[in-house]
Amino acid sequence: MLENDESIDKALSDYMTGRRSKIGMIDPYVSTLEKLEVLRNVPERDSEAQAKGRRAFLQQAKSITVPVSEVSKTRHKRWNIFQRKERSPMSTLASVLLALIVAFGGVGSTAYAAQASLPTDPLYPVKQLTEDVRLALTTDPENEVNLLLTLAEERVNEMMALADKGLQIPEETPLRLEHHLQLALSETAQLGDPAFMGALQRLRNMAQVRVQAMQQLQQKAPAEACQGLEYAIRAMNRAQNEAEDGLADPMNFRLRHGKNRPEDAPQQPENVPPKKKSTSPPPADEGSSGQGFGDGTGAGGGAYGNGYGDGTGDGGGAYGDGYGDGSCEGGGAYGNGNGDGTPCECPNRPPDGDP
Amino acid sequence: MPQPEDNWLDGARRLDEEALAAIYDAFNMAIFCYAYRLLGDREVAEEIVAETFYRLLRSIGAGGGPNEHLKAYLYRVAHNLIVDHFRRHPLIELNLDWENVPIQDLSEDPVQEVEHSLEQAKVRRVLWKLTPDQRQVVVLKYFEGLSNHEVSQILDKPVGAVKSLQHRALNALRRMLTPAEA
Repeated sequence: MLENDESIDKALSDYMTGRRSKIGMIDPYVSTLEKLEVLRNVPERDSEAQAKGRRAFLQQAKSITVPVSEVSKTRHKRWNIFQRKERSPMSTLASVLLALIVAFGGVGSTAYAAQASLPTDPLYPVKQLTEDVRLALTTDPENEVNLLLTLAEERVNEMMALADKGLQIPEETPLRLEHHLQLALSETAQLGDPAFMGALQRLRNMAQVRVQAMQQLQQKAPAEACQGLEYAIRAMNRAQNEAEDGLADPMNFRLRHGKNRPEDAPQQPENVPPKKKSTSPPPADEGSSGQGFGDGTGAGGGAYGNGYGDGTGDGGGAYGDGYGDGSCEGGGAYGNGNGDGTPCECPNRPPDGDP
Repeated sequence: MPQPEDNWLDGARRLDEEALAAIYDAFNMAIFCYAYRLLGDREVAEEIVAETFYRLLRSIGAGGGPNEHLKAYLYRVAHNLIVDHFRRHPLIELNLDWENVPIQDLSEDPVQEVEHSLEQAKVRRVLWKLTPDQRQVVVLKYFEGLSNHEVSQILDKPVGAVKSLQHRALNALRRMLTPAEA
């Protein structure tokens, strides 16, 4: 045995230095050693974290002569870093993935196989992880919008496949669809004009076709699947409306969805309401109007002459030439008109801002 | 023959900044790689590095610390911290986080990269199935490139025992990673 230990050690050293003098000894282990190679490369280290660590170490050295109690305090603090209070949102997913590896006994072509999985399949988290990586890798905004729309279509396909099989659609799937659509709208607002129009047209057309398909399926789908389909249809309809509004009024769309708003855009309140609009005609001239910004978070209304207004309390929001919203009991106004800044007297009003 | 480490250690015992900086620069990357390969989490690996060097300082401040074999001392401390962390976060929670997929090195195929991450997680899991000594021998020799002599210092075992551990570790890995051939 000792002799074998020596021989294997020598053969391994030769193997590691690229020499293969003891081919016979190391051969049985070559494929094992090759499998270990996946751990060879370590991802590039964050140079800032490295420099910070060095500075902290040298700083600690300067305080090393302080009383023991001080040292103990410092140690306690550092060690607590291991008990991360904030867990990565992906931690649960990571656990699931590793459980899958255990369950399947290996990885083989797990990630590839996962691409055809449905939300009820055990491999579905791997598919989601792949999509997250793909999104993280896509830095070009136009490509990102295209990818998000592709992912939205994939969610619809998954839901339709589940409904077709008579299976219940997990709640998370239409929510993920909605998330893709919201991100797509937000990213579209960053695009230059030609790409902007193209993206909105694609979104609108995709939504039209998919909503129609889902509605047809809904006629024959079992009750278990209907709720998910219904939610997805509503999300798609909202996105379609947003796209149509954006095609008609790009500037307003950019104001509502954009991250980098134009320099001359009016200041937006912190409590920007959900992106919704009243389908009713603009209310009568009851609220304040004119130049300037107003935000009503209490009983009154918000009014804005040529910009944005918001009323999140009992009153309404108003927007002179754009968007207005009253997300509580007040009324919302949209379009060219004045807002409604009067306290609401109609508690059973439908939720979408209809006066 | 005196090693640079010996001079650094002399300086470190006087808390000489230059010597401490040299120690940090010489070994922090190796400790990071060691921790990352076993735990698969960049953030935790950084914490292991910070704590390892802090413990060196604390030992020196308390009049202790290594008299020689600084590298072996640091690997030993790091190893204990890694094992502590692993015990707190059992195997199933070993990280497979998309944030740890090395984005800057990604090819054009994210599916392939996720596959690679899954393979890494599997191999890492197999490594943790080895005995602690076997695992250390494999990682320190095969990945970190340490000599038998250095590994024997870290494990505080004779070189012959290191070779024996290495042989057993390779057999165990072969059984777990390539069961059809074993």
